[in-house]
Amino acid sequence: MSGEMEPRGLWDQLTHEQARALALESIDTRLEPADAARLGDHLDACPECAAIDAEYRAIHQELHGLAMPAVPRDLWARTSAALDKAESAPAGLSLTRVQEFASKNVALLSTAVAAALVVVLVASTVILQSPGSAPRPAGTNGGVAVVGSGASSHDSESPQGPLAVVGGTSYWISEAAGVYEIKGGSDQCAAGQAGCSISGSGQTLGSVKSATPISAVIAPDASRAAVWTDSKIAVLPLVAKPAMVPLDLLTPRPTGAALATPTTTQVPAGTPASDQSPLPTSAPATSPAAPTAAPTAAPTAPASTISGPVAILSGYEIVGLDPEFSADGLTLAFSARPKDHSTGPDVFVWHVGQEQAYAVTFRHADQLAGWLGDRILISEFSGASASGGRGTPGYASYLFDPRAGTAEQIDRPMLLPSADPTGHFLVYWAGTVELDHSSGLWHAAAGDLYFESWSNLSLTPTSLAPVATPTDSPTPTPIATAAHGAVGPSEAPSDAASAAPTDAGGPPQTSDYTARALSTTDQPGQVRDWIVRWDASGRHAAVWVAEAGSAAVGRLSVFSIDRDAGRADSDQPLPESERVTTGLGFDDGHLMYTTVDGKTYLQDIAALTPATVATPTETISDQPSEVPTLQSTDPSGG
Amino acid sequence: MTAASEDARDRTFIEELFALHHAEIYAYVFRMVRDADIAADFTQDTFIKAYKAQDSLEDRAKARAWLYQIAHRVVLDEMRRRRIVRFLPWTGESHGAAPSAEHLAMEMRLSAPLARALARIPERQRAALLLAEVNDLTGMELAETLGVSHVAARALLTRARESLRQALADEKRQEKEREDALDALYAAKARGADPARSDDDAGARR
Repeated sequence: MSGEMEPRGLWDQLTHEQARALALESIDTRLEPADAARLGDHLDACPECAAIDAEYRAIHQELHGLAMPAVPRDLWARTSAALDKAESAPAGLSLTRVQEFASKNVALLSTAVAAALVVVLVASTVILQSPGSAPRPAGTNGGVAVVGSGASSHDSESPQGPLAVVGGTSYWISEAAGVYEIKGGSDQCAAGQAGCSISGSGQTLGSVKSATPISAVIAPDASRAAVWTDSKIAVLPLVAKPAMVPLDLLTPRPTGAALATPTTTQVPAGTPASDQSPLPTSAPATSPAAPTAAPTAAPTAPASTISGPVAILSGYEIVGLDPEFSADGLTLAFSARPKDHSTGPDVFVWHVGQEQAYAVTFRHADQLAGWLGDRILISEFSGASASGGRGTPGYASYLFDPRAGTAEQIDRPMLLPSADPTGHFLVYWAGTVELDHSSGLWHAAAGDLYFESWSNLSLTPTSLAPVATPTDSPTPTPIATAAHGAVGPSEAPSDAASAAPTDAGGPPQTSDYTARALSTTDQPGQVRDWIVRWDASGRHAAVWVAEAGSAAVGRLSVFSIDRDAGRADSDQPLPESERVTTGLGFDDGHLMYTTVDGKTYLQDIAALTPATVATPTETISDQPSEVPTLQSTDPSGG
Repeated sequence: MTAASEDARDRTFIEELFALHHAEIYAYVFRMVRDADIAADFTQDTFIKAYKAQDSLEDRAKARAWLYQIAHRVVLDEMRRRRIVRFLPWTGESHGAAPSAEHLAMEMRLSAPLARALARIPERQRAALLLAEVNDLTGMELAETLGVSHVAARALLTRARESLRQALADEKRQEKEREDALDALYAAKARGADPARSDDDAGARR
């Protein structure tokens, strides 16, 4: 733009685009007089441009007038402590918990080194912990061993946190120059041992090249992995000396309109039948059979034996929980939505041999909760349309049989229930939900986690068929009953547990329900982000609950399940229970978890069993009716 | 100068920088990552990196922009790294993790629509806006922080302002639609007709 003062004629008038550019420039720059005059002329004659100019200035004023957020009081203390360490540490050693957390190295550590790091870890944790959190007693963590360390250089190739430990072998992912390798350590972590180390080198079992970051999960038998980016999901076998998979070039094979047209997912009939666990009580036999998800022809069951890498869905992004393989490792379930967010999420299923994943829900408001035997637990938000989540939000959960295409609704409002592997118990969340406008997704806002026996629940056959106009319904009816699971977005109580049952979120308040809240946090009723993991026997549940204001760090509690009494006993927090990151799981009687400092631990679960809970040795009855019903709700979980 | 005295000088310099700039660095990081705990971690990380990289600071008069540059890289690197592997072994995606716009607005002291709009624009544009508008970096400081030319920094800032204006307009429109829908709902209830029980909606759900 010229700075010369010239007479302004028609030729010198600004276009709208030029005027807006000058308006932007003028926010924090003094314009040349000629430009200022021309801008003034234009704004006088163009109300639309004047309005936009006003918008620019209003935004500028609001941003410019922002107050500074409060700085954590311990920021200097922790930075000073880190500087102390930086002065004495050798170059290249990561010094802050952020770096360690971000580059959870699973470098090879000898047992001796691991033992030494335990001491270092305890010391540094005491220094870095937030005020008020209890330091870890170094001498009370029996059965715990460091198996990984985050003490790696930030800039070097940094093997990432373990994806899984299967049979004592750890699997993790590392990245260098856009090549992601899934590696396995094959010579350590023998089952049943409390202490072990994980190799940082390992053997490459899968190799993926991608221009965008990937995430991955491992099948329970470690035979394959599901990997995904923000727009593509693929499955690849884990084999020795794998060929590199160019993920960006991998595309799902076209198989018609499987994604666009509701269809019944076809899991091959050869899939093992349901286990013998006591699954929830179904509705009376007189109930009509639930219609399948769609009357249209199902996609052909796999005829080919696809054994190599296969892209199973493209143009979609994973939503909610990570994809999860079934216990036999043959079927993958996940929830995803179109990359362009044109609809909300649905649940998809892929079975070994199939060429692509298929949607099994079609209301664009469903998320995977997990597997229960060969059935899939699904949670659905109502009022969660892609058009902006109008209406009264609620939620409900379903048990879906991917082989039959049938679904049953759990009679109690609950979100993302997690079932124990034996099918006797579950942990679920109930409370208020809210819409996150930035993501366009509904999520838990404030509530609690509850332990319940399946025998106290009933199921009603239902359909997961699409609604007529799922994205246009302005006031969807809450799925949940009037008493539970529904609360208006603007009147969500800060303490859901104290709200009246008629308008409150789901926490069971009365003797109608038998569940009891798990004591997972010092702030009952404020659980909004959690992870539940069960050991294979269903005798322990590890529950991670995010700290307030954090999505990545939380408190880990382990509950012993008194299976005879049908009760989760009071929690027995680990000595390391504070400030645990979100990764945790079980393997061969050991709980594995990672702390914010990047250290990964194996905890012998037997050492955690509270004295007050006898560990049953007899076979657990498969009859749900034999699991006693709890008579009251105790919010404290006591 | 002995190594010990050099260390002492270095430490003192970083401590001075901390005293002068930790609040604004924390504010910038917090507004980028929208998580107080992570922001504290990143701020700490910024000063540790600064301590280690003092040799790269040629002119101490430019220490502020240099600090912002480190903080900016820490934020973008960590945000990218956290997306690579989400630290969620097994099936452990955290759900409900994203703080609501209202929560963010309260913590960031922004109006909710503006907080949502800010979250919608690209990271680099958001960084440029926050650095220039909130943290008052000069044009040269902004360019140094972002590692681009002055002209490119101005262009990025211009694009960011326009992106934010459009995103904010969109947010306000959506908010009005929601309010209108709620008004209609309350009006219908006031008339005694519960739309939740209407045939259309019953059919629409289940």
